[in-house]
Amino acid sequence: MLLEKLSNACGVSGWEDEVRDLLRRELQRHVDAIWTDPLGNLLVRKGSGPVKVMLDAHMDEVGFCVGAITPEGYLKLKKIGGLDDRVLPGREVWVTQRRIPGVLGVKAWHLCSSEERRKVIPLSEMYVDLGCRSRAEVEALGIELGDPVYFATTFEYFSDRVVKGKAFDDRAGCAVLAAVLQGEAYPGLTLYGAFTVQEEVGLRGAQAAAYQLNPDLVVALEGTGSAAGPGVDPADTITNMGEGPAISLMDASGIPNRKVFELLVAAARENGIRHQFRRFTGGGTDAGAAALQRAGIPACTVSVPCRYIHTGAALLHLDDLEGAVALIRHFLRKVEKGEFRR
Amino acid sequence: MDLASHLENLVAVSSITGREAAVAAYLQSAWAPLVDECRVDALGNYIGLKRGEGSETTLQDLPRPEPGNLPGASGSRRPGPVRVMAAAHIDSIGGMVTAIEPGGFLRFTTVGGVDRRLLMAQEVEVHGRRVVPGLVGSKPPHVTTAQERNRLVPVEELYIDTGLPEEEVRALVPLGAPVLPRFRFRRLQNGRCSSRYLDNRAGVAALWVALQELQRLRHRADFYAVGTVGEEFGGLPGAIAATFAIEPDIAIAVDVTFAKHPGSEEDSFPLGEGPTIGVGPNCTPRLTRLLREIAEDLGIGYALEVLPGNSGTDAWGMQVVRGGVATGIVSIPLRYMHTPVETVDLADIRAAGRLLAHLVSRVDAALVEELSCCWKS
Amino acid sequence: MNNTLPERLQRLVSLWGPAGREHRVAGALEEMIRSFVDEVRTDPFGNLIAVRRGAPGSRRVMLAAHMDTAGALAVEATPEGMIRLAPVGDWKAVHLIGQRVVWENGTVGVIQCEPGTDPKDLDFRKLWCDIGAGSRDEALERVSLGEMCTLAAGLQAMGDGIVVGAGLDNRAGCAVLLEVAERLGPVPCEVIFAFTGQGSVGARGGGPAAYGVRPDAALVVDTAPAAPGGSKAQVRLGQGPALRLKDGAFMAHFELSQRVRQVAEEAGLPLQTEISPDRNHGDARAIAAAAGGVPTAVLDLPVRYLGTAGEMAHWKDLTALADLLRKVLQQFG
Repeated sequence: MLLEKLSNACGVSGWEDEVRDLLRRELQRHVDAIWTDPLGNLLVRKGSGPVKVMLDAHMDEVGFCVGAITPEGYLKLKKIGGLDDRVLPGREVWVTQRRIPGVLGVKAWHLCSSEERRKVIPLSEMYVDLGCRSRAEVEALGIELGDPVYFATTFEYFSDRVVKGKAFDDRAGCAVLAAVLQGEAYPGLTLYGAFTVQEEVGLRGAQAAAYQLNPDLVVALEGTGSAAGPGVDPADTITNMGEGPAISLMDASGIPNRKVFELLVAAARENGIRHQFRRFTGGGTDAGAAALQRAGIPACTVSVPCRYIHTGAALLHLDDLEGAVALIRHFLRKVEKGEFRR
Repeated sequence: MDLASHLENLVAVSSITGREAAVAAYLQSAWAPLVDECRVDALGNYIGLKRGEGSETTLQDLPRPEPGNLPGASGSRRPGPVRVMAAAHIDSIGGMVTAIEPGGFLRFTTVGGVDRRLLMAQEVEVHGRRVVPGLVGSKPPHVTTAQERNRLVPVEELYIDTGLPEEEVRALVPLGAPVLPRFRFRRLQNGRCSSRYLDNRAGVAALWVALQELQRLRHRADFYAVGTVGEEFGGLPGAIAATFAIEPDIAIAVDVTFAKHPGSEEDSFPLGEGPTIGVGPNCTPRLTRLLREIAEDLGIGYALEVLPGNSGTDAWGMQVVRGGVATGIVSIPLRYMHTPVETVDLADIRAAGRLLAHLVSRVDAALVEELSCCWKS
Repeated sequence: MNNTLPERLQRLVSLWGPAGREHRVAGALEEMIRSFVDEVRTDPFGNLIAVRRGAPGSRRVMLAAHMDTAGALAVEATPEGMIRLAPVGDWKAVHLIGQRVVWENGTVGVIQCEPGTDPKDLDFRKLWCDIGAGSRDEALERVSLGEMCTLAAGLQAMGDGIVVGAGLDNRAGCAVLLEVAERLGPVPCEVIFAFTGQGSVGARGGGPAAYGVRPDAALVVDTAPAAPGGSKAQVRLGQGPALRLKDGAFMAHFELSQRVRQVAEEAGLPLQTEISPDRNHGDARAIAAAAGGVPTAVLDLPVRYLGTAGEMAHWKDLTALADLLRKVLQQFG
């Protein structure tokens, strides 16, 4: 399954190479043009119909880079994207895309004072232990400052329909977009797939992609949070995993274009696609950034709910992923009718 | 003119964010012999053009019109010489007068990331109808309690005392008048200098060095030396607007970074051992590599500066302009950032300038093509 | 004051139009401005752009006012039929308790919380909107998730030239632009009136508007908090519009601001100065960075109690601002 390969691929913001190469290989046969831009976005075109649609999914994931190499041969890390310090200690990491294994060690519980035991360990106090004994040994491995570091998580099936992996934000979106591009053609559309870079550090790649492609509308495909667990205030649950793709109402990066939003809802309703709304108005997506390009571009976001995003391992229900693909396909058929053509 | 004198001239000119015109005017005259053409744009950015060999580019057509190409194919670079832009911001942090109190005392607010710990009793100059010197007021230690002495006074409670009668102050100082640390330029030992505003006049001086070098070096690329407004505060409008207008193939932000000193070891770089070259999402990897190669070829020392997200430089804005721009970051180590005693080593400025100049002389259309298409393993 | 201004403001304030849902306001503004301009269009972002053409080659000045108001979004409905809200823009939960709101289809609601909730703990998660529904299904029949509501409070006159109502931010600015458009007379420049979308949720519509318009300068008309009501408020009602030199994220273009100040002085029009350390409101910073850079200044109408059902403004400030803008445009050769 493509999601498995995508999740296992490594690509923090600015180092999306593996994801880009994987997608290029998977999509080459299915699209009419495929190219990259100065930012590293992977852009594809399928069809050359009158309505120009950009579907966006970001390739990058949250993770780390090497901030310093200590004389003793440990690595100090810097975060790339938003990460909670509490989910980091005691994890395995891969250093560089060569996946050199390392562990985020912390001082043994036994040696901690009662005060230390109650305190969250900040990343600045954590080190990656590669087993090296000196800086020279680290350098001999070809590790340099700035090199990417990943959660060492391998995709697996928890059940027939529930999968676990890293980077579902936004490899879930990449998988949805790839499936749409690999599927049927839409004669009424010039369908652009924008696999963008640097979403996690500020919705960056989508700005350049939307400017360059200048589409009539944009739909960002995302992996979003689902916090529907025990003890969580219902107002904080965001979405419910397993209850279908989530259509955004609003987020910190903007208010979805009303027409695009309504057409998405109509596509879901008319075709009996189980869906939900994202009940949280914080966070940002590429749609918000794309909407401000040029003289404005109508945009909305559709997300696959994932529990535990922005940690080393998230869960995703395949019903939601497949629901998102079906929703987008029906949506595109509606868009083909020309309402958005400028 | 030597580098230290040029730097001294640069820091003498006032320039809080929003009031950079004097710096742009200084560059227009001081750099005139070094560039083929220059202008100050609508926002106040200085744009100097040093044409490449055989280039007929002019600044007349800025901002450039919309390219009409249909995306869908690579290798369709627009015709004309390669454009390299290097931007150093010409604005600086400071303050702004917000009210005149009875007695002629001035209230003020900060512009940009001023270090609030060192405002009290600081010597300042208020740029009203003339430059008015002043002191930030404070109570003498004799009448403050130990507790008070441990409290940082918020900016709203501070005031500037010009010693002038209220009427005169009102006549001299309009609301909104800039407040600057008082000008002083000090030459220290070993080619090191200290002054206000070395963030980022050090970067501006590096562009000057680059222009000097390019008088001797052959280059086919057009070089745009840009002094940008609005970097310290307000979302990088200057860098974004200039990049939009110039449409560069390569954009380098030249700024300052943290230099090591006691109490500042992590994420800091030694003074006098060369500039830093940025690595991270804001820095196109192929350009980072090229800058490193050039530094190594020239025997210029450098350090890698890891920037995991927003670099806090003009490059952050420049990278995502139009369809995206290949960006790099070259920074000059500087001690005591955002204080009136910022300290740099002239050797680092020279090295940064040389690095830039050689980058300009080395890039060609093939490299530019690669910058878009290099995203293959 | 001519009497079209109160009529216009009355009409504009009565229009439902939170951020992202400005279509009714845009429709009314289009109708109101059409006879004063040469061309009216809507851009892809949803901004309404009205152009009064100048001589070929003349400079282009954009006057921008955001036309949306703050509001709230329906994010969920409880089994009891109460609608859960998220804020759209600067609404504070504490200002909404007991207020009536109106949804797009005219459904009326009341915003409430558990009685006895400490105002310090009050946030949007503790609020609900009661539309009189008895169950979740019944509620969602009347108001779908994703719909928005705004405060339902019409405009009323108070003594001494003051008006009170919800949505003066920034329908008052829109009314000023209409006033300018109607009474502009011959000017040496092209004038573009941009009524922008989503100004209540940050610098959104202004950037796309400026990109499409490519002005040589922009004057943004918005609102500033007036004293009393906020210890940091520097401006007062009835003392004239305020020239915003700086806010939390924007530095005004100095030469343009100076020009405005000079015009006001020469014309004897009142002008206050506003330097806000942290408030960060509206379109200006997006316009300034757009399409190669646009010198941008902001003129604010002083408004008391911004973001509440009792926003107050002074007619004198509206008319003074309209006069000032006309004078500035007359000198924009």
